[in-house]
Amino acid sequence: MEPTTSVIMLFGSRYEDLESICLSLRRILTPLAPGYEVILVDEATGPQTQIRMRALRQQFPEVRVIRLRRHMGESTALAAGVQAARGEILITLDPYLHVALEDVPKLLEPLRNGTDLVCAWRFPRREGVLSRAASAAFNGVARWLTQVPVHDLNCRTRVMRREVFEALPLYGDLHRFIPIFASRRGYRWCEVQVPQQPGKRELGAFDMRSYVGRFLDLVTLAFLSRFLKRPLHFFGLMGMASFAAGAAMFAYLAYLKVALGAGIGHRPLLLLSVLLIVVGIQIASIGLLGELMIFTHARDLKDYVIEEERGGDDP
Amino acid sequence: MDAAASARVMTMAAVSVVVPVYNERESVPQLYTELAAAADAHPDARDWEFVFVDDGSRDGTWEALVDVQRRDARVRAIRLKRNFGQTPAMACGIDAARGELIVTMDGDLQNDPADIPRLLATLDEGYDVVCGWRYRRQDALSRTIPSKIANRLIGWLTGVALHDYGCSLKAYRAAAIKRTPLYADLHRFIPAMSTLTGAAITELKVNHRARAHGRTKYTTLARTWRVALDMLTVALLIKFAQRPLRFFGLLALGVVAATAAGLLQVWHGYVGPVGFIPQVGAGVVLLGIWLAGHLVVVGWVAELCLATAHGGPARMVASGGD
Repeated sequence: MEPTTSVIMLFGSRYEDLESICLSLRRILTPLAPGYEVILVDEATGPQTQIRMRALRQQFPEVRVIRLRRHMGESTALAAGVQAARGEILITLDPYLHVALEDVPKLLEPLRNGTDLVCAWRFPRREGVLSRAASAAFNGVARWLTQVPVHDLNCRTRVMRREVFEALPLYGDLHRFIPIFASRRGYRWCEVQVPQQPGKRELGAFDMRSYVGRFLDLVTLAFLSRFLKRPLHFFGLMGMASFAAGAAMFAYLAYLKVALGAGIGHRPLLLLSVLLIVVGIQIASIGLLGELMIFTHARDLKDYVIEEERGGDDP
Repeated sequence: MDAAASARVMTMAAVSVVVPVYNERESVPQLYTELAAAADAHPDARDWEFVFVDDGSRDGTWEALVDVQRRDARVRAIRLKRNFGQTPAMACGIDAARGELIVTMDGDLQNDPADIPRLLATLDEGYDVVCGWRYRRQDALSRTIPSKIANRLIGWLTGVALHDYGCSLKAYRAAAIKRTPLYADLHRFIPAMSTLTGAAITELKVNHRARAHGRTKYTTLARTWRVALDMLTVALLIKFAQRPLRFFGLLALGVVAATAAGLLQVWHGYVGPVGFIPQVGAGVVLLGIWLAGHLVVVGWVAELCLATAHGGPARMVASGGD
C-alpha cells in the first residue's frame, strides 16, 4: 500500500534519540494515518550514523533514509526528502524538537476542511528574552514586507499537502518562508498555537552570524516578493534616478565650462557626476538582464494556481 | 469508439474562446448566450470550447459558471485559488485552451461575441494575430485620451502600430500565442511581444458596448505610471532581446568614443596649457573604461541567458511559424 502521509525529518547530529521519536510517531500517527512513512534526510553525517540507521530500519520498516553527499542547506535537504516521499500529506519536523510530537495531530486537524498548509506557532515560548525579541522582530519585519500575517517563521514543524511544497521555488534557506510563498500563490493556510517544549536550544541562537544570515534572508524575501516579476521596474527606476542626478550635475559643469570658460578638470563634482551616470547605467543594465531572465522563462513560471476545473475532460 | 479515439476527440477543438472573469455574476449568462450564438453560426460549432477563468471572484460568479457549464459541455470553467490579476488569468485560459485558434475577450460584455466570426475569417486570410480595434469606444474621455496617447507611444516604441492595444478581443493561432511570453501585466503588449515570434499581425474594427453590469475594475491614474514603465520594458526587450551583445556592444562603443575624447582632452592639457594630468579628469576617463567593460560583460551574460533558454524567444524565431 502506498503511504498517504510522509514525515520528513532532517538530521545532522541533532537527534540523539531517533528510536524514541520513531516510537512516539508510531503511537501518535498509527490511528490517524495508518501506513505512514518516515523519511530521514541524512545531511552527510559520519559513518557511525549509517550503522545506527541500519539498526533503526530493522526495527522500524516505515523508516527510509535519504543520504546527501554533503551539507547543502535545509531547503535542499527538505526538497530531497519530499522527492523521495510518497505521501500526499507531508509533515516536516522541527530539528530542535521545540514542538512536541503529541501536538502534531492538532496540526493535521485543519487539513480536513480544505486547508493546504498548517504551521506550528510556538506559543507560549520558553526561551530567553533576547531570543524571543529577535524572533518577534524577524517575524514582524516579514509581516511588514509581505503583508502576510505570519508569527513563527522559524518553527519548521509544518503539515502541508504535497502540491504546496512542489509549487514553491525553494532553495538555500527559503523554506522558512513557506507560509508566505504559499499564501502568495493562493493556498489556504493557518497557524496553530502549540506550547514550546524545552527541547534543545537552537544551535547558534545567539550567534551574530545567524542574525546576519536571517537579515539577508529577509532582504531576499523582499526582492522575491516584490520585484521577482518586474526587475526592470525596480532597478530601472533606481538607475534612472542616479543617471538623472549625474546628468544634472554634468550639465551644470558643462554650462560653467562652455558659457563661463571656467576650468572643471580639477573639480570633484565632475568625478561625482560621471560616477553617478556610470552607476545609473550599471544598475539599469543589470535590471534589464534580470528582466531578460524572467522574459525567457516566463512560459515556465506559472503565475496562477488553479483551484478547480469543471468540464473539458468529462464528456 | 475506443478510449484513445474518444480522448483524441476530446482534446482537439477548432476554436477556444478564453474569457477571464472577475466578479461578473450578472454578465455570465448573457455572455454565454451570445458566445453560443456566435459559435452556432460557425461551420465547426461543435468543436468550439468556451474557457471561462474565474479570477477569484467573491460575488457568486463561480456558481453562475458552473450553472452554465451544466447546460453546455462546450463550456470549461476554471477557478483560480485567489485573485491573481488579468494577465495570469488570461495566461491560465490560454494554457488550458485546446483549440487551434484562440480568441480572448473581456468578461464584462463590452466586447461583442458577434465579432468573433469576422476575427476568425481574418485569421484565415493568413494572419497569426488579429487585434480588435474599438473604433467607437463607449468609455469616458478620462480613459480614452490616455489610451490614445499610450497606443501611439507603444506603436512608436515597439514598431508595431495598432490603434487599440487595450482591446482584449483578439484572435490568435494557438502556435503564435502559446509561445509568447506572458507575465506580470504584459497582456496589453501581446501583439508587440508576438512579433518576437515572427507573427503576422493585423487589426479589425470591432463593436464596443457600454458597460451593462458592475463597474470597471481599473483605476486609471494609478495604472498609468506602471503602464508607462511596462511600455519601456517591452520596447527595450523587443529592441535588444534578439541580439543583446550587439545592443550593449553599441552602447559600449559610444562610451569608448566619449572616453577617447576625454583622454585626448586630458592629454592635451598635459602637454599644453595645464602641464600636469588633473586627477579628477583622469578618474573620469577610468570610469568610462570601466563602464565600457561592464556593458560588454552584461551583453555577454544576456547572450548566455538567451542561448540557454529552452523554448525561449531565441528558439521561437529560429524555428519560424508552424
